[in-house]
Amino acid sequence: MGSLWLRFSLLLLVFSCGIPARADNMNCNGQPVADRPFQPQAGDLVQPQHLELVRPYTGTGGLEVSVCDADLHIRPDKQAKQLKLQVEMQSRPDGHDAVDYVHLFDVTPAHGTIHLKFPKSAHATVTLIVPMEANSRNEFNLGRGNLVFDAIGTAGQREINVGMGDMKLLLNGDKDYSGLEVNIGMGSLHDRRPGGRNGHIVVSRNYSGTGNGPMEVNVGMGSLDITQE
Amino acid sequence: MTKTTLTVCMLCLSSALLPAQDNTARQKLDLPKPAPSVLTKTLPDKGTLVMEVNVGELRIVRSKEDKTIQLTIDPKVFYDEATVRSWVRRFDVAGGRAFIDLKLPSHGDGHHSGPEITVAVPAQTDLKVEVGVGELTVKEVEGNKDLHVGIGELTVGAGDGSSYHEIQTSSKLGEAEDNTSHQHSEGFFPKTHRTSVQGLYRLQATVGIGQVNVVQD
Repeated sequence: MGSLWLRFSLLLLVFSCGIPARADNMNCNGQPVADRPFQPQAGDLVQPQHLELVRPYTGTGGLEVSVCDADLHIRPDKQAKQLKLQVEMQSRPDGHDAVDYVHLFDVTPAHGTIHLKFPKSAHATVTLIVPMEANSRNEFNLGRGNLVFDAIGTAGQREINVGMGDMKLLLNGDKDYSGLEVNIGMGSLHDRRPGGRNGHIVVSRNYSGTGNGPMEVNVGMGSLDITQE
Repeated sequence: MTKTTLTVCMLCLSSALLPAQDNTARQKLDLPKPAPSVLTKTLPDKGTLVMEVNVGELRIVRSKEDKTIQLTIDPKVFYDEATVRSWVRRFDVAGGRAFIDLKLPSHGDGHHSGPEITVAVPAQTDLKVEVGVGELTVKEVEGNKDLHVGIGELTVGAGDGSSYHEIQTSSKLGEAEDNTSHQHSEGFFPKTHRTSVQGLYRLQATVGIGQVNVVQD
């Protein structure tokens, strides 16, 4: 019994220490990662202002990508069964390298979790080339910045959240989603597809489509531009 | 008639037409605006407003009249009265608690920003308000506040903050700012937290995705 309580107490201690540390790391406080779990592997291109990381990835599992402040470009690659992350920083805040802002890069063939802490002063551009197949679950979170999502040919569940910034969504008509939900707290929607309707200030809209899997776009403050292929 | 005379005449004619065109443009701008729909009920001081809005711009302000709660819906574009009233799923007062539940139409069509909602409450009123998507602004209302916006912006006035023993803001993704304690945080799970031994009230303001601000009013 005493041993059980000891284990329980240890578990409590682990959780109480671990959770705040992780939340602090993604607090987007402009500082590099304090406890960097990411270790480059052979084949990774790691330069002071440039990163290129490639991992095998099937595109059928769960993927979560969170970026503090950057321009984020997401492109599908149906042919290659791999995930490719490219980072280009225009400047090195306080002399820190790009890799110092990689909080998590945990990618296996079945799932991926990527947390990047780039501050605004780094002027980072992050490009993610990844397959998104049917039944996959994909979540992309951007704290602040511009996001371009080329969703043409993608499938599965896709959720894109932007705290503040402008987003561009490339679609092939209604063929890339079974349903599309768009919520913009403060900003504007420009639907440039034929017959598309614009919206301003507060936008909440649902579209039905002929594709595979639902898509949800949430923008706290900013704009969404939907563009036809 | 010489070419010069003809040119002068054309210039005079065009200058005479310009004001006419200007007037036409002004007349177009002077289109009648839809009248706001106003609903009023009695609410005692130190009561509570419990309100839910699915989507839209909501302002909660101090009422100019005592013991009165007034709901104003400015549709911005023409809807018949019955349609506007149908958005109000509930507007009841039971004892010291007022309940408002609004289901507004899909927002942000064309060049119109969608309906604007204003609720005027007695100076001392506790607020428990939730907006799904949009903007919530609270100004010059004293009392406990539990405010949430799913996606959008939340701005709440708290005087100089001295009336509150606790002010807490947070967001899942975006920015959290408390001007009364000069705290600011952004990114993932930003939050601010200030406590004091003094102050009658508690303020909790949260946003799912977007920005939350506590300002001095």
